Amino acid sequence: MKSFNYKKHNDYSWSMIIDLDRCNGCGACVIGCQAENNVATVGEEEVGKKRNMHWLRIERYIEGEYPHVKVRFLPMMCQHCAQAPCESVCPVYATYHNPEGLNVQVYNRCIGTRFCGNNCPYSVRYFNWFDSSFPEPVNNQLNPDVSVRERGVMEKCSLCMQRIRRGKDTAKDEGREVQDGDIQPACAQTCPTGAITFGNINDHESKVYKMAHSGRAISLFEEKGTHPAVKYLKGGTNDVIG
Amino acid sequence: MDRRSFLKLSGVAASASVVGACSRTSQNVISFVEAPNDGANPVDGDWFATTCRECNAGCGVIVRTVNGRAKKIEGNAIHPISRGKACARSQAAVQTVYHPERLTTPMLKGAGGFESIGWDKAVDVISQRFTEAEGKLFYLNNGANDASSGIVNEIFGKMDGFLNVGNSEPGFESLVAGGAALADSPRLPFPDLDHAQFAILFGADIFESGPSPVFWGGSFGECRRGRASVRGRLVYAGSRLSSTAAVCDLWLPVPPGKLGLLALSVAQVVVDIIISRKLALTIPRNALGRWSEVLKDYDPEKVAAQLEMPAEYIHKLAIPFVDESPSVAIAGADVTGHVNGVAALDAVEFLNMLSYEIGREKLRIHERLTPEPNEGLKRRITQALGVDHEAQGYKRMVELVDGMEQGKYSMGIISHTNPVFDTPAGLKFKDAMSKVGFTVAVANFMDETAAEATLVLPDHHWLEGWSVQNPNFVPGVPVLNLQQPVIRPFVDTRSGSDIILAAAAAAKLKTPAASTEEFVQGKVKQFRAEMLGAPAYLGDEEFFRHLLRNGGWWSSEIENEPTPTPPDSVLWEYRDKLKAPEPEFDGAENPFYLHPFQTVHMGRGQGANNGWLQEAPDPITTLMWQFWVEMNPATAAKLGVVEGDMVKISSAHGSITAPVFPYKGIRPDVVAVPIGYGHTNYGKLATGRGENVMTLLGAKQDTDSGAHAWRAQKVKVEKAQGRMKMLRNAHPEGEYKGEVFQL
Amino acid sequence: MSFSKFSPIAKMVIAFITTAGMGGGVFAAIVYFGPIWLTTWAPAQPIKFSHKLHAGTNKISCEYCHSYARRSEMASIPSADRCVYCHDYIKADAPEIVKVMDHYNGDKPIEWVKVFDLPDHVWFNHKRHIAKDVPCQKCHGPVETMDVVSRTNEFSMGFCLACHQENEAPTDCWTCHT
Repeated sequence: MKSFNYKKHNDYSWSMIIDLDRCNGCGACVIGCQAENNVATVGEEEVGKKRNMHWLRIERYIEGEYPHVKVRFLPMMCQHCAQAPCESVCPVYATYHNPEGLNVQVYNRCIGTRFCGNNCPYSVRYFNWFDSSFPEPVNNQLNPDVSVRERGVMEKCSLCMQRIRRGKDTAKDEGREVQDGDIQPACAQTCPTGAITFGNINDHESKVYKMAHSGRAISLFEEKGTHPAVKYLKGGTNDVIG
Repeated sequence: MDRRSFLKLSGVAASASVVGACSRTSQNVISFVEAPNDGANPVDGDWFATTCRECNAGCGVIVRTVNGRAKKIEGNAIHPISRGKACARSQAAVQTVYHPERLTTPMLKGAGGFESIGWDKAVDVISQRFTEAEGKLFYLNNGANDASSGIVNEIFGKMDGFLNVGNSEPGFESLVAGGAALADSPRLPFPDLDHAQFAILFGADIFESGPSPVFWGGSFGECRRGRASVRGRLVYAGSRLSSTAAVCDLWLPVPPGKLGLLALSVAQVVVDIIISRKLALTIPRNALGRWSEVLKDYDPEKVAAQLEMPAEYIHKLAIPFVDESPSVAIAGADVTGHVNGVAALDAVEFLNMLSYEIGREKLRIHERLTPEPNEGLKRRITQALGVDHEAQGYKRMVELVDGMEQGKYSMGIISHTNPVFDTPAGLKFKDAMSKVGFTVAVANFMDETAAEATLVLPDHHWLEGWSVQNPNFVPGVPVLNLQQPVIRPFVDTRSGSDIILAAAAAAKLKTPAASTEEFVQGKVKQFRAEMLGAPAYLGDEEFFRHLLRNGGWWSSEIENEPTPTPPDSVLWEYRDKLKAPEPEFDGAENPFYLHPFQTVHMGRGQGANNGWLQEAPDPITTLMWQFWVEMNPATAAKLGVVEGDMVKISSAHGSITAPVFPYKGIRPDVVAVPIGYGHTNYGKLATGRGENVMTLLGAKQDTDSGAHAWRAQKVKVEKAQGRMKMLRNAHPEGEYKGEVFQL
Repeated sequence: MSFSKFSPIAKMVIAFITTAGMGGGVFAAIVYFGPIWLTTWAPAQPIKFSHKLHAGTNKISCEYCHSYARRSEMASIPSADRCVYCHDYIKADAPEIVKVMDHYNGDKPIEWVKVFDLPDHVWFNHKRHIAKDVPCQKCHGPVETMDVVSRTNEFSMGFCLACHQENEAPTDCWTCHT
């Protein structure tokens, strides 16, 4: 589905589908994202103020009463909404929607009003309250393709834009379009159960297109009209004891 | 302030802004002396295939390095165990290699504590001890079957008095014994979850811990949604709703130690169905009759009360087990962690055998796409690398501790394992270790065991060193994982096995190679002729490079023959294995069952000094940087505690205090405590955080295999002073009450 | 009339206006003179390598030495062995070349001073620009006329954007600012 407020046809419209029936909450995606995107750890005290920076978090829901308890997992990251509530409130236009369907966060424009984070219904925007500390020798692991954000700047999931860029670069070198499966954000690549799929939803042969058009696909907070590019496949329970 | 200072200040501010805007920063760009001759892109990085050594699963990984620094670890897409994926602990390993607390010099214990010594002196000291020991030494690792164990085994294996020990994950030897029930050799059971339609997990937290969470995670994905028209169903029976149980369709809170009884009861119904429907199976009919006779005692009506569930539930597990074949039963820590573990495993494997036979009858034969099995080759590789099944596990640890107490060993080598921390109090490992004259700890960090050793050798991180690894995980299938350095050693460490080789050579002992790298090459050469699928036309050097590019050798995937029916004699005698002995508990007079469990991040405790792993929210509690005890809200109410209140948990062996996390997904008579916390000497992030639940555990063992019965402890729980703020990443129950999850 | 006769508030207002005026003046000076100051920077390098001699007089192609430009993000500074290919025998006794050979034989990398450095929040990909036949001189200036490399371009974002807009290259922020 192309975002409806774009007039010109674009080759790529990135989308991510998360299969809720496959996610087992193992958290490999959380750490994979942290490693790939130079996401800081904030330490015990700041975590107590709910300031941990994980771009991707696994929400956990508990339903029912003992012994009929159900626990479910929901990986949550920036939904890259076509009608993003965060984009319209930035006074300096540090966040906007790019032609490929991603919600862009430009670190060097951000002045830290935090209005965008306030507006986000999914609470997926994270603010750098302090300079992220990557003291020697931990800074040797930093990914050179991704900026290290300094204090006063908002950050969030970028659907691994640096990998998208590299995928398009490679495709251009070879004189072709990006094929389905060429580009894998860090979370999708490491998920052991294969719960996360990424691709170009303008490609009708792609996995994400087929998943988005299966009966199971939903958007979260659909009633708010955000039209996210990230969709979820509903899970299910096959009753065993009836 | 006065005018003068105000002007001064604004002057400074103005000039500061000028300096800040300056981009005449002089940074240096340092070029190569010799360009890499493969024209590789210096910034995209070089990817190297190696093997992750965070646990013993043996997942193949690829590592992105840029300018000689390791940046990112991903799964190796062609590897049969990782299948292109990697777990949280593997991802966090890039922080471990650049950890500020890595050991950098050998340290010898003197009168005033540890003193740094040079590498040459370390080699001298060890070589002298080798000469004095005359073979009376032990080698203890974490159960890995790798180059280090292979080298030590080749040097000392044939000497009298040498003992090889693997401090494996709890329950390992029970799993092996259970797997041997219907096979002709000891093996880990390997149920084919990928292609199953129905699975019963008997306390098996396979997506979080155990042999290979990455592999099982992949299998789960396939089972659930990998097929267009079939959604696999899973049932989890166990005391606690772990994150594995969370993704199953049903959780059955069976009392601790009774899972074997459940398996037998399900088996009773299955055998009944087979007989009453007159299913034509390859099993001899009188065997069925014998089993039916024995299983009569486990009729659901008779055992339902003990299992605390309606008898009807057991029928509802058994019927899909027959109708939705292929179906599998997988046993885990809630089975192996009790004294009746092997008996329960025998029951679970019995169910699996029945499943295979039923599947055969309905022409839904297991088409297992696994690498070609070759039991003989696997066994020979295992022997070549020293630590085989018999050397692994708690039973062997007990033998080691007894030997240490009796002064049987004049020295010991402890490599990459922390038994002073992660073994139960009842084993008394620390006391026994102090009776050994000279111990060498090969480790990356100072930990509780290294602190007790005489000499500490800082080893290369697995990203920096050579090894070969033969994973236990896939039984009968030889997988020769190669581990190569992807970066140069970041600090001045040496390969532990290189030091051992140097010391052995100096002590005039016969060594298998001059270096670990040479040893690895030697092993590849030794087995080369049997490596089907690998290019035969390459010279030895080229062949080795070829394998390194792939990450190792495993034979290509083929469609396997169906699992053979066990021989009649085995089936006939199986009647004697169908029993459900009562579980026994240490501290049986106490009211609560203690449920220690491995979390996805801490492992057995190695993850505790890694900031990423500490800050990553636990799947069930979403707690970060924190230790906790889970108990049912009803229990909490009875004790008069709420979330965050401290409670004291005690047994005859010790006591700990922990903040309460009320959790509905646990039996009211069970309290669950994560392992891996409570370090006393493991760096700034880990030391003093939480308490070590292993200090509460006695030394009860499985009756048959000798595995540590680590879930067989009962404890007292009392309210204690104080509260802690719970560092949760979520609302205790989640904001959305399940709307998104309904079909 | 002395300053002290004014009321405290008046004093503060006058002081503030004076400082603001001075600040404005400083700011204007930076804006006016900044680009010249930035672009006349020609730092001394550890080896006195002359692009004028090699690229100008001898017409050696840029990519002969900066060989990663067409296949990577970074153009790269050539490794010492690139110099040695020729200078093993060409003018092998010149003092600067002896220095290079010392580095090569002693396995000591040469620590060049980086002249063209972009801020950390900018990601630039040489490969795509070479692929579009953008001449090196467009951004790096007339390097083949320089004895000592100087930064002739202030590398403001406007400079990059102007060319991108003209040539219908991507202008999405995330192209360069991930």
